[in-house]
Amino acid sequence: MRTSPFFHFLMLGFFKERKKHIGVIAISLVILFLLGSALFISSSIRYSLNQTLAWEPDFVVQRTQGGQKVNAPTAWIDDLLEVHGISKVTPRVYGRYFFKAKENSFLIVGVDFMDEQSNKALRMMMDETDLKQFLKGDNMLVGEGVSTHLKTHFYPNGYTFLTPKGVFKKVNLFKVLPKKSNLISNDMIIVPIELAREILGMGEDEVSDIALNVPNDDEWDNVADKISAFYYDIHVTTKEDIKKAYENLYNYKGGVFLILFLIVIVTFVLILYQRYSMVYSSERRHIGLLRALGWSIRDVLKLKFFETMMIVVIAFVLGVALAYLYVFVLGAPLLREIFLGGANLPNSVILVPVLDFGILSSIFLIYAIPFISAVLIPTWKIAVTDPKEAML
Amino acid sequence: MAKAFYTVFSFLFLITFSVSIHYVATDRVSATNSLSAVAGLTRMGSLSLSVAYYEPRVQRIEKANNIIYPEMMSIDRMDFVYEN
Repeated sequence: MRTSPFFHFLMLGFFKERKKHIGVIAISLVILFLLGSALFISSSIRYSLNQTLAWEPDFVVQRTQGGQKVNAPTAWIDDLLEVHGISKVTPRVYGRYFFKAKENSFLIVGVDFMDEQSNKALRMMMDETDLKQFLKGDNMLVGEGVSTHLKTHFYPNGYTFLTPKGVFKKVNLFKVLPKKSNLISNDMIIVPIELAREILGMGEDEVSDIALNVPNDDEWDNVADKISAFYYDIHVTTKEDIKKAYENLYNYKGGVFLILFLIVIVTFVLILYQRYSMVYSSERRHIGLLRALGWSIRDVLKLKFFETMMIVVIAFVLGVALAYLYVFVLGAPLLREIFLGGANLPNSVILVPVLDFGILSSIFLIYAIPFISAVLIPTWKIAVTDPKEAML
Repeated sequence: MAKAFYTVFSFLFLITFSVSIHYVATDRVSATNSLSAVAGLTRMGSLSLSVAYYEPRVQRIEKANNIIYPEMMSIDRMDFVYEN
């Protein structure tokens, strides 16, 4: 290759006109970087959430009133246990607690630590946690965002909650949840279920909703129908619904991302137009000259193809690599707030590197094919005309 | 000019190689375990969204509601982000 005159001529032309190429590479790089970053963040979040699916209940039963979710009675648990095929019926107690009215809020989650799954998960999360010591007093496990917020507001060891009954309830900060779980636990406060009821002002016979499992997948539809028939104000969410929601999370069907993709496409079309008109105007003489010197149409097309391929490859590799560095090494500052919000507690999540090669190859093809076409089509049109006319 | 070509493509190869090394060497298991542990403990795998008081925090359960400025309510970001 080193001794090939064609290669030498290609390199000579490419690097001599580098200023022109750098402009195109820079614009393409920005587009690919933005697109790559958005897709990396969304695929990483989707991957992480899918990993937690195995731990989520098969069904969540809620009570609704006027379209809004309201607390469900604990009596429903006994009714649900009577349905054949249902196992592990767990009441869930949760709700938002506002640090100051309309300002920062925490998600209080009540957990029955005597429950087998909860106990196992707790031990998996922090081996050294002494469950007995934790249950001895009013203690809480908090997410990193909550811990930071409490520390900055001079509550390093615990917090005194004001219950809806007007009673103060002091709860000690027992442990901070691992940073690696920030994606779901940043604003979370985990407390024993009774304490959660007290803080949220719920009665003993009330729960936020009821989670249950149906081990036999074939019975899911049947069980969902049976549960739905119990009461008129019941709403059943299945794991399939959650799975579907995760699959559609941050994809092109979402408005913000649809806008992003549209902007990217419009910008890309502008680049293509610029390339197309550039070939017609400034490179017209050059192509005509090559033809007049005896180059065949095939040789001219080959030259332009390799020249464009070099631009495409450089822009693609740099754009994707920069996006990877920005998302998975730097943690996607600024851009992650579009995905996770920034109105409440700041969340510094660890995004697990996920490369979806299907998406990467699609980006490459969507970028490369129109780009190469925008150069080769006018080149061919000029090359087939008489060199004298082309050079005019 | 061939030297410049080799320099540019060696640089690109180095970048690709570094990304590959980072991708392969990253510990995904501990991050996944931490998430699974919290999800298993709470039986909730909802994203920890940093939302305003009138925006839903727990997806598929809460709905946006601004009782003070119902007419001024901004377009619900979550409705944009998630397909209902």
